[in-house]
Amino acid sequence: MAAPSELLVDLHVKFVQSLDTKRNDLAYYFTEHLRMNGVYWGLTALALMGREDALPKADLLAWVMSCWDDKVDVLSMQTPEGSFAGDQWGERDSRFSYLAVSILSLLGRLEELDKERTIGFITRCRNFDGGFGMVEGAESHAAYVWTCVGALAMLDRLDLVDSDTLCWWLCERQLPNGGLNGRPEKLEDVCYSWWALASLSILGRAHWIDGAKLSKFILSSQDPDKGGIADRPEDVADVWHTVFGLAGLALLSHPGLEEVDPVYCMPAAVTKRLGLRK
Amino acid sequence: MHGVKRARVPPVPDSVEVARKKQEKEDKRIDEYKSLIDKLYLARSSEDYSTDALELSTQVLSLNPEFQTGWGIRRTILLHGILKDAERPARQQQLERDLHLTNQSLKQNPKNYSAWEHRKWVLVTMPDADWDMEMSMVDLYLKRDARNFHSWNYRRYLISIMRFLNTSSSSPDSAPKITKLPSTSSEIAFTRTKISESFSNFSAWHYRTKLLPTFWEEKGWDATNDERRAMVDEEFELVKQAMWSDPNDQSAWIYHRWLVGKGSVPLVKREIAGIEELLEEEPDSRWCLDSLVHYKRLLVSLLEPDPESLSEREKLNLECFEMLKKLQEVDPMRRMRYVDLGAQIVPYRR
Repeated sequence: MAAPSELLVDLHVKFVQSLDTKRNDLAYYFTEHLRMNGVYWGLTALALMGREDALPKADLLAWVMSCWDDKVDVLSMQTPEGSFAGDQWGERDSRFSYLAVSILSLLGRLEELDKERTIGFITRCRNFDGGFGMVEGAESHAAYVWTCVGALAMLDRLDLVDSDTLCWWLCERQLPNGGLNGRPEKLEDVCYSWWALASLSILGRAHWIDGAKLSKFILSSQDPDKGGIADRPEDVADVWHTVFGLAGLALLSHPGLEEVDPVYCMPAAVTKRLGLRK
Repeated sequence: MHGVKRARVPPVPDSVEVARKKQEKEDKRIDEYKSLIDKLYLARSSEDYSTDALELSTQVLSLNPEFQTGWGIRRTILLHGILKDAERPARQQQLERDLHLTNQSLKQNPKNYSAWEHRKWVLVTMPDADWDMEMSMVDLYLKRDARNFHSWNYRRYLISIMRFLNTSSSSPDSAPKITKLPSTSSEIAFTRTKISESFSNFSAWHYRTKLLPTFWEEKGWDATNDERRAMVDEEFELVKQAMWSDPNDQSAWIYHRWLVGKGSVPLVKREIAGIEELLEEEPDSRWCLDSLVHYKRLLVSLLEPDPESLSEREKLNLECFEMLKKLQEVDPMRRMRYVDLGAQIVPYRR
């Protein structure tokens, strides 16, 4: 059967709607700690397709609020070295720097952030190839490039990025099959359609890769029976690859998708409304 | 799900009976797991730090090592239970069991963030951590997958902790169990081994870009130092071997850029000559072409202060312009980058 070449919007909507119904699978229970992630991924996927009405809004909001802990303050999670811990146990890396900056940005409270310390940590994650790693000393990796470049964009410090070198490194993520990988000599994966392409987009160089070939790769990774998008063609789809595949296609201006903000990974209409669109 | 193929539709779908039996089995596993989780959450809310509670967390995490919350609950139980009350040998023994638990998890998924984090916590919480053994453990993980960044990061983390402990321990009682404290030099040798096993190991090349400057700084060797220059020459030899053995592998080319850095006129000229030699063997090699453009443009900027070099610079720029046109043909996916680079070159003026 030929790989899908069109965007199967209705199937993806059904896929996202079905996520919370798989109560017969052990996997559903194994991933309980990822529910909030799933809500964000699923809702963003729907929003990019202009179909956020497909999930019950009031119920979803109530559920999200039920997870709120009023005792934890994001700013208190910052370490002396400038990184942010993910939780009380202290796991720290550039993902949490992005999240902290994003949270404060979305809440309109960036001025409360110790920007120098935050930026200090992020710049220590920078490598000779222009890229960024998970922590200081770590190898450049497209996902961590996005978290660092995204955070720097929110802080208006893209001047700290060696854009020529990084965009060269990023465009070299495209493989002959059109897909993008996350680091040299690794396999392509649909989620890098977001991490690498959004980074290029923030730096104004999204045109340095072959968008048509990448589109084709993402589309061929759709599951034509059950909906959703997988990491590569013929693999099992999941909501993570669905949202990042759709977001990648949105960056490539695929028809039928809303414009996406490469810094926040949400519809540009949302960040515009919040006055955050760069 | 990363890397999991979609099931092919079976030629004959499961009979109602088979499907029912399968679901029954799954339902049983679901009930068992849910029951364990409910009990674990109850233990948490009732502040139960008993060995029973600990055992619950062991069962849950053995079944579902990806369950991040579970690892945190386990640490709380340990901290308020056995780690608070028990004697040193008992605490040590328990935490060794925790190391074993993380090992089981990492065997299933060596990229499990929570398992690596728990291991880090265990090591700094243990009365007698065996750091030598930890280094062997990470060696083993890097043998299994030399590109696993979790393993590399864990290795660097271990070394930094070991160095800290080694310099700050005061009494023989608290002296950490470290017989082989890794040095910058031994780490450089380790990356060399990895690169010999595979020129394609960018993780090892990357680590070298951090280790070498640190080594030179420790020695107090600036760029003019002879021993440092000798090491740099060796690096060029090494990377040249890698480039020639597989001109399509990007690891060596990317490392080469670091090695050349801002360069100097003689160095850049020498490297250009070397790559031009390779280009003769592989005329369509996009890495040769792209690198030559990069280094020739670098040479142009290095020659800029010398007004006598105008015609040389013009010649270089023209060569770059031609190579960028060729690159658009041999590497059409990245065409627009070559177009943009070409637009930056204004022949006969720069």
